[in-house]
Amino acid sequence: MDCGGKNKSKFLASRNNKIYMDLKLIIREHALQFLPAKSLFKFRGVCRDWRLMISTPFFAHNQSLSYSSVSGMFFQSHGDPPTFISTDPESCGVPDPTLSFLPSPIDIVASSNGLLCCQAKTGDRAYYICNPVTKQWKKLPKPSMEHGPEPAAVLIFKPSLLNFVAEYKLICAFRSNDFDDATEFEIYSSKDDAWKVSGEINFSAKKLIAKSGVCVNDVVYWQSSHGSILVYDMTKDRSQVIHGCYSGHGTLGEFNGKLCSASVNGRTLTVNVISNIYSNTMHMGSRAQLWTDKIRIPLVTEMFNVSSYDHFPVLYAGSEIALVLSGRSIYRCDLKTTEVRFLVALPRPEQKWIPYVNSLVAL
Amino acid sequence: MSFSKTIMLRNYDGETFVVDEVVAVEPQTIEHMIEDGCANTSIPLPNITSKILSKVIEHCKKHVETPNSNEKDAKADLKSFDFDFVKADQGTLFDLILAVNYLNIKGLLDLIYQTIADMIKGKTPEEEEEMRRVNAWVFSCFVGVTCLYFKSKKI
Repeated sequence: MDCGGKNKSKFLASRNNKIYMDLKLIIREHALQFLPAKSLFKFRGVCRDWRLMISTPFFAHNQSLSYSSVSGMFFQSHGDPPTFISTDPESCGVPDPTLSFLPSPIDIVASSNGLLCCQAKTGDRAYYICNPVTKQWKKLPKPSMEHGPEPAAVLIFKPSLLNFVAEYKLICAFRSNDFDDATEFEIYSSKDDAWKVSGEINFSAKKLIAKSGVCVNDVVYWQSSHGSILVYDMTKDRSQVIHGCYSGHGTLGEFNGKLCSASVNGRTLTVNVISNIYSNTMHMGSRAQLWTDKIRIPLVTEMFNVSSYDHFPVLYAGSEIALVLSGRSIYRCDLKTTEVRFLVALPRPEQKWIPYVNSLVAL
Repeated sequence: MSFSKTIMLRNYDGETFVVDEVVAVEPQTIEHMIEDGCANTSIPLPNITSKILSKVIEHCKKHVETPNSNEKDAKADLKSFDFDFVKADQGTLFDLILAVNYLNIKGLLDLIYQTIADMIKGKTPEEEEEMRRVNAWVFSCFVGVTCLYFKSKKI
């Protein structure tokens, strides 16, 4: 590819020009979609090109694919409207944390990749799916079964490259009305816009903790108040109960594609990952373990100085970070670097929380 | 295929780098050049400095050498290598971004875009516009100087 002498300088000059122009283009075409929604709303004011770029539905689709980090938590005390605490208030946020754009007062029930599932407090207790950033919402049709006062629901939404319309499922595990001490499942699919009651009935599960559920690889897991975990496989339509880690009251999450349970024991944050879900059916003498101790992070002493607290719930556990609550202070633990630092203080003590991703996903 | 073919990469500073073909095809741009038959003598990369090119080659080598096994340690190692890869001062980072974007290195693209996003995330729109304008000015000055330099050298 050796060109003649004189021509080379021309190519070089024009190419250099193009390259440095490209940095602007690279940012606009590729990097912007990795930003959280609040930053993007602010950056609409940078220049006309950016405003145009950020406002397109195609960009919103790309952003929902590229940005998937936990941006904060929605907190809600019984009877009050929800509030939102951001992990980085400059870049992550929602315009109306109380979700007043919904037609009636609601309780937040579940969240997945930018979508929130809420349930009306009164009336027919309808379910709503919404995006708190774009304020789009959709009321789900009435389920065929009674889900009870505090349904253990899990919203499953995985952004997909070829799906421009969000396709999601909502699975509710509820106490059976027909059988004593049994748990049944009803699943809403946005594709069919309909509910379907599963044929599976589980007789071993105890009372489930609402908002504790997570979905990993099409298998849904809920914490029960007894410390065990109810497992429901969406593809096989089968369920089982497995025992939790240690005392069994860890927070469930997804760590590198596997179910994890994170809890604070003593002064250490421990993240355990499920290694062999069939360990209880292995032959005698098998060394198959259900849980593997994956990460241990010593927590900072300032978290334990406030002597009135002895319980440090893990608000969220993921592949990159975990959030731990000490009194009213949230601490961020980096699972890679083991760095622990103070993040933000809650205005008042809270009991229930839902992690949220600041995505532009369109409903 | 008992011998491994090598490819010569010639860069901005005129230096040549000899790499195994299997490493050289990690960047898709180079892979396409080879497929199109443009790589008979050496592949010119006039927009990339030696410093950046050696970093990029190091990255490609590491990714090729780490087998595609399910070894968690190997994958975690690779992840931390990539993480350290983008820890650099702003000047180097900009050059790195342009090089990776030009070379179209699959594994690194998302990482550098994420790095850029993290850099601009917390700024206000005014700061953002300022950053864009300042950098544009800096770059256009650089371009002007480069043109003059090459003109004077009569390359």
